[in-house]
Parts: sequence; C-alpha cells; structure tokens
Amino acid sequence: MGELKLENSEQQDWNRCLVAVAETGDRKLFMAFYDYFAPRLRSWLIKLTGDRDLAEELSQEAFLQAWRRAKTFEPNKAKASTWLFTIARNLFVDHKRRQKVEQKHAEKLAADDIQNVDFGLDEGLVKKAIANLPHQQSQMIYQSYYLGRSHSEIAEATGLPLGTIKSSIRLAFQKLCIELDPS
Amino acid sequence: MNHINHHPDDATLLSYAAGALPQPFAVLIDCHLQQCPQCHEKIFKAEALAGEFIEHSPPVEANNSDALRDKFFAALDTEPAPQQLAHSAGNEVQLPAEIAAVLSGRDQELPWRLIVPGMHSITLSSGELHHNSLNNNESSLKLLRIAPGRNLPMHSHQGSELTMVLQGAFQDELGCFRPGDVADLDHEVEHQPITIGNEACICLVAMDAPLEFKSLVPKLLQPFIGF
Repeated sequence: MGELKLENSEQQDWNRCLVAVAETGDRKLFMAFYDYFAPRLRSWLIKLTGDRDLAEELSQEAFLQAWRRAKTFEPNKAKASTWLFTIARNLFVDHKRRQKVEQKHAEKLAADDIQNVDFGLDEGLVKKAIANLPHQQSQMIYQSYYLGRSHSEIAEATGLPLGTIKSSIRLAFQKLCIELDPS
Repeated sequence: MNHINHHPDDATLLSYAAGALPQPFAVLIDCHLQQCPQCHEKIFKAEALAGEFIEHSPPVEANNSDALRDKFFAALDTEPAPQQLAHSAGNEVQLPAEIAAVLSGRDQELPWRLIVPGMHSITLSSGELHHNSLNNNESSLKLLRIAPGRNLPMHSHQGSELTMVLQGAFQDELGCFRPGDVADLDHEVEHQPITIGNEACICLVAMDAPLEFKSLVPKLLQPFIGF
C-alpha cells in the first residue's frame, strides 16, 4: 500500500484506502484511516453532543461499523468522509432517539453563546466558502451541523422567526453547493 | 412513481442530513425520500458538506487519544475481516407500521380515532418507535384522515409543520397536494386545507407545536381533538 499518500487528505486517497481495506482486511491500513479521521470526528461529536464520554463512545462505534461495512462503501457514490459522517450521524440520531438528548440540548440553549461560530476549519476552499457567507447564514449552518439544533431550537436560541432561519439555511446551502460542488 | 410537485424546504433537507430534525419530522422525510430521488440528491449534497467540514477540520487531540486508539485497535483485533453485506445493510429505513399500512391500502384496518365528524386521526408511537421521543418536546407525528369535501379549520402554526399526502389530495392557498407531496410550513403561513376528489385524504403530519386555530369553536375543541 506504499503508493497511498495517506499523510494528506486527497479525496481519492481516502476512498482508495477504504476500498483497499475492504479488499484486503488490512487492519494497519484501516488504522491510518482512523488516525486521520478519529480526532476530527470526535471533535465534531463533542460539539454535537456536549458530552465528551458520549462523543468518544459514538466515535469508536462509528469506526467499528466502518470496518464491518467497508465492503458497502462505493467510492463512485460518496467520499470516504461523507460515508463516515453518515455512519456517525445515524449513531447519533439513534442515540438521541433513545436518550432524549434533544431535551438536554434545549435546556442548554439559554446559557449558550449563540454568536460563537467555531467551525475550526483548516485553510482551504471549505473555510473560504464558509467565510464568504453572511454571518447569520454561517451561524445557522453551524447550529445545524455542529450543534444539531432543529429550526425551532435555533429560533429559540436566536430570537429570530422560523421563516428567517429557514431562508438563511436555504440560501447558505445553495451557496455552499455552488462553491464546493459536493457530490 | 408519482410525480411530485411540492417538496420539503432545502433547509429542512439540510437539517435532516445534519441529524438535526426532530424525530417525527425525520420519519416524514424518510417517507418522502422513498418516493423522491430529487430530494435524495439534495440530502447527498448536504451530507457531503458535513463530510467536507469533518475532513477539513484540524485534528483536535484529546489527552487520552493514545488510550482511545489502543482501545479501538484492541476491539478491531477481535473483529473478523470486513464481510460482504447487502448494500443497504444497517441503512434500511423502517417506516412505522401504520404508515406502511396506509401506503399498501390497508388503512381500514387501523384504529382511527374520531376527532370531529369527517376527521379521524392516529398518533404514531408504535413499532420500532414505541419507546422513543416522538411525543416529547411537544413534537408529534400523526396520521390524519379527512373525508371527501371536508376542510380543516383555518389555522396557522406556533412552530414548524410538515404534512405529506399518503392518499387522496387536498388543496390550500399554496396549491394542490397529491400523494408524495409535502407542505413545509411555519408559523408565518396561515392556511385552510380542503380535500379534493372522491376519496378520503390521508396525510402524515409532523408538528413541533400545536396548531393555532383562528376561530373560536376549534379553539374550544382543541384540548379534545388532540391538536
């Protein structure tokens, strides 16, 4: 697997890495995938759940599922990062369903600094695309993806009408799709 | 497949992809996605954005990162090599049994509760969702069956509402809604849906706050009719 450049994050490399893992069952190669994504996935889950232990638990389970399902990964349909995100997101949603995390989140709304929008992105296109959004739009995107807030919860946190929140998210989504062409 | 004219708002689809929709809304979107490749495509894009955010965030090392890595590697070591699974393994969406019954034309078998003459409902809380949060945070998922020619009282919403037609059709100020169509409303919209056609209209309705009726009689009835 020497030809895989795993120290950077080029799309085809992580996609090829997962495909190779599926074909060979190479645990060390999978650990390269883990080493790149685990600290990043964990960081996102900590923001999302507000609970470090839970974030670590969900992250570990997500990587185990990624291993078990490696043969279902289709590199022509999604990037490895997207595929991993959907596994972790589904685990989070299942957990929320069981534990009613929503209520905990709702209780925390008042204490939160709603202006705090810390995507923590590295330099590059994605960071630039977010920086190009009006503040309100990037705030709504942050609250959706990083805090897992529903439109009503965002309305409660910001005091803005639901219609404004939905149109901000809609516009931001459209702009990000144009700039980043995610597929 | 039906031709779908009314779709959920892009903002709703993004929240679904982010895992941020309340559960009743997510179930309704699952139901819509089974019939709508166009919205599926948007969900893929919203998921891909999340993938980009994660891939392009700097690693945040925890002080127990090494211990977590060791623990994970030990767990991985006990796992068999990746197996061939059905493509959708683990990702199959299981709709609540009541919705599946309506979609397969077995709605007569369901325990409809009379609300007012011509209008029946079922609050969904069964099947795989029996012990979950469907009804917390004031959010709820209901099936509503409205007889031909009937209308709902004029109402607006305190929160969000998603309505998907499963059978029959209704019309309101926003247009005509047929099976697969979704009305994605918030409290700024005031509407009065009327069923059209000769068959009952069965809708799936997700709400995160009670409706606000505009006239006195429905207001008085509200505690009794369950909306």
